[in-house]
Amino acid sequence: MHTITYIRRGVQILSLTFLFYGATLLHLKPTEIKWYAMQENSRQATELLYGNPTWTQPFQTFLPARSCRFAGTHGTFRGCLMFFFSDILTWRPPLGVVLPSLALVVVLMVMLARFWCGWICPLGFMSELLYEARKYLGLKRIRFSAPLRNLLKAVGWGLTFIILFSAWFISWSAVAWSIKKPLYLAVCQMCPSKLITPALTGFPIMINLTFPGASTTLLVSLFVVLVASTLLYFSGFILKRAWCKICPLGVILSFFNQGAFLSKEKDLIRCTKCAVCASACPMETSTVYEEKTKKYVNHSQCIHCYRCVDLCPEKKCLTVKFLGLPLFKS
Amino acid sequence: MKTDFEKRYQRAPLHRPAEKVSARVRAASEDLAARLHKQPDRLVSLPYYEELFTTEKRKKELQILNRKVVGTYCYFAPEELIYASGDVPIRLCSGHSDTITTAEELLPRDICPLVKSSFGFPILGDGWIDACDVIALPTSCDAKTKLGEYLADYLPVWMINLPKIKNYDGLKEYWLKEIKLFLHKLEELNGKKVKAPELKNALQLLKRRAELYRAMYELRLAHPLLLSHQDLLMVVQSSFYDDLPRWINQTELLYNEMKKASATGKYAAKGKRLMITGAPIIWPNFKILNIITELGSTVVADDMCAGHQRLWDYAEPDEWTLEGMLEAVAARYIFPSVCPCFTTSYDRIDKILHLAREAKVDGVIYHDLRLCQIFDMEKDLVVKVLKENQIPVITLHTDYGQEDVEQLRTRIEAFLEMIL
Repeated sequence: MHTITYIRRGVQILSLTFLFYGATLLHLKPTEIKWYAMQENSRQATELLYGNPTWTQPFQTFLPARSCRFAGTHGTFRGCLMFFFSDILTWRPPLGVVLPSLALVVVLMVMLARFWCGWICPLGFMSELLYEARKYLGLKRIRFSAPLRNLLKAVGWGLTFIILFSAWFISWSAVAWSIKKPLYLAVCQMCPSKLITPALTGFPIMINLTFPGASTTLLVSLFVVLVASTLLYFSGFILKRAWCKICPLGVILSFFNQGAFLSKEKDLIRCTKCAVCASACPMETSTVYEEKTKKYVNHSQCIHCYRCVDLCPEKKCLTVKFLGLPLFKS
Repeated sequence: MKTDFEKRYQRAPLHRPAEKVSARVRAASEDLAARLHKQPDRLVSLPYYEELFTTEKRKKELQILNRKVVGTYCYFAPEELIYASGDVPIRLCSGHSDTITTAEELLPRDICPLVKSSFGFPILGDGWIDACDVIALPTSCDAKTKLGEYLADYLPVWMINLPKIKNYDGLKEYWLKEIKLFLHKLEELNGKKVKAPELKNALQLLKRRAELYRAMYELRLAHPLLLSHQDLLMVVQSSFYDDLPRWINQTELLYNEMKKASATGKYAAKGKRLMITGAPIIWPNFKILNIITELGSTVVADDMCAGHQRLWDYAEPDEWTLEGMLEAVAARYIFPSVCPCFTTSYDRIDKILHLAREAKVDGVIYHDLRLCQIFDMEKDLVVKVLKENQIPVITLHTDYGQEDVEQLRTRIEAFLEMIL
């Protein structure tokens, strides 16, 4: 009975514990900080540096999930993929320095794509817990309408672009400090994890609405985006996985959903189009339901939770394959 | 009790009790039961189901039972909701040819025999409709849509406005509202609200029924003669009338007996493996099945709303809240349905192809009830696709009468000889 969901919950609990509290629980020692920005000779770049007590995690590497840097000394990884990409774009360190981390992240990303969202990401897991709480309270669910879903998708793309572009933009020496400072790591400035993870791990929340020499307008507007995205995150209480629909990390991972090692296949003749999959999908996609001509049913927003496979009433209709080997069957 | 017809214009209900017709109806059931009884190597759990058709035991039980009885037609009256509100659903679709003449006194001649046959019973004052308190009637086809006004002369009628286009985004909301309206009517009838745990119990009960049927279906794929198709339809159709928990217990016994008997290996299919698709074959109108058996072939599968489809699907909610369960109930009746009253026949074609592949059938019989336009209009494409898939298919145009039995026999015989 719903085996896949139970397995997934187990994995999610383990991954949240490991990503957020792993360093404390397993007595892992922090590694020496290799802050490759130091090697950039630009004076402005060095000026950007300020003492940051978060960089003390045991693994100075990154995951394609919200292994948030605000987990502080309890956390196991240095940060998420967006943080890493932003840093690379800002500091542009020599390839040799970032290659190990970059290779790891890219391999993980290409192999599993949005599997990270459904099974590993602690933020996604907590938003599902919020949703479970609503079920327990018996409150009514609300679904995103199709136009709203498209809007959210566009917002996600927009955010991703702004984050990556601003990370690159502030590395230009011509750009004034007043703009550089607020836009530094724009990804963290607008991520709900900045508020949620510290709340869970006891790390101090840092919000600077004024900073010497920085543009207050930019700082405040980023703060507004942060509040909006946090509100969206908590609306996951009645709207299933609300934040995940715009998550920039998810947008990047969704490019790899089609060619990932994991694939979902449908036996087209067996499918009765009963729409159980469409109503169960946390991302509210309908590819699995609608597709009747191609057997591969990987939607770009699919988070590989396999709820559709779990609930499908037709035996052997949906199959999840890892490199061609069947992993789960309906 | 509330009815959907305000009775602005009225006609006096027609009552024509006729002992002769009633006796013929009973005799038809008894004859068929006796005929089924004589099948060789028949399982011993089966006579239980015959009793539901040949005796009045269950009807008397319903009349003294302190529960409301909701008469339903078609596949679409949501049983889950009826069980959840503590009522009993009874499906009134009939296969008796003897009541047709009675009904034709009021109904036009050129409508489908199923509707005429079912409407004969209130005129006769006989049959299951006697035990009903209210009728839930989905507007699936034209004849059923208009039947409501006739039935409203006898009993309160609730029409269920069935949409005709399977379109996920739009239809889901609309049909969910209709389902909620139906639940509301039931709640008014019983004077109490349906709560989530009650609905959950009903959903799980019907899921158990579906799982049991699926297990039987799988067992029958390898050993089709464990239950001849007549027996299978009898078992399925007895669930229209029986107390559901009791039916499930009895069918579990039957399933266990089937499992034991399948080990003997003497229940393999005889002759050609056939599949029946098309209009419903309802007790006691089993003439086509009887002819096939007499010709030494076996029916191994069907996709009929009074057969395989009736027990196959179940509601699978994503979440067990009241709203989530209602959504699942709504989806379960519309989306996997293969009824031709929907605009597209593609889902039905896929279902037929899948069943034909899974049951390894040698040929398909398209049962086309005379004057059922929707099955008739779907026939062309279904037949074309089946032929493209190298599955021989024959169309039988017939109704409930016995006049064309010999003609049908000749046609089926020729078809069986044609199949390689």
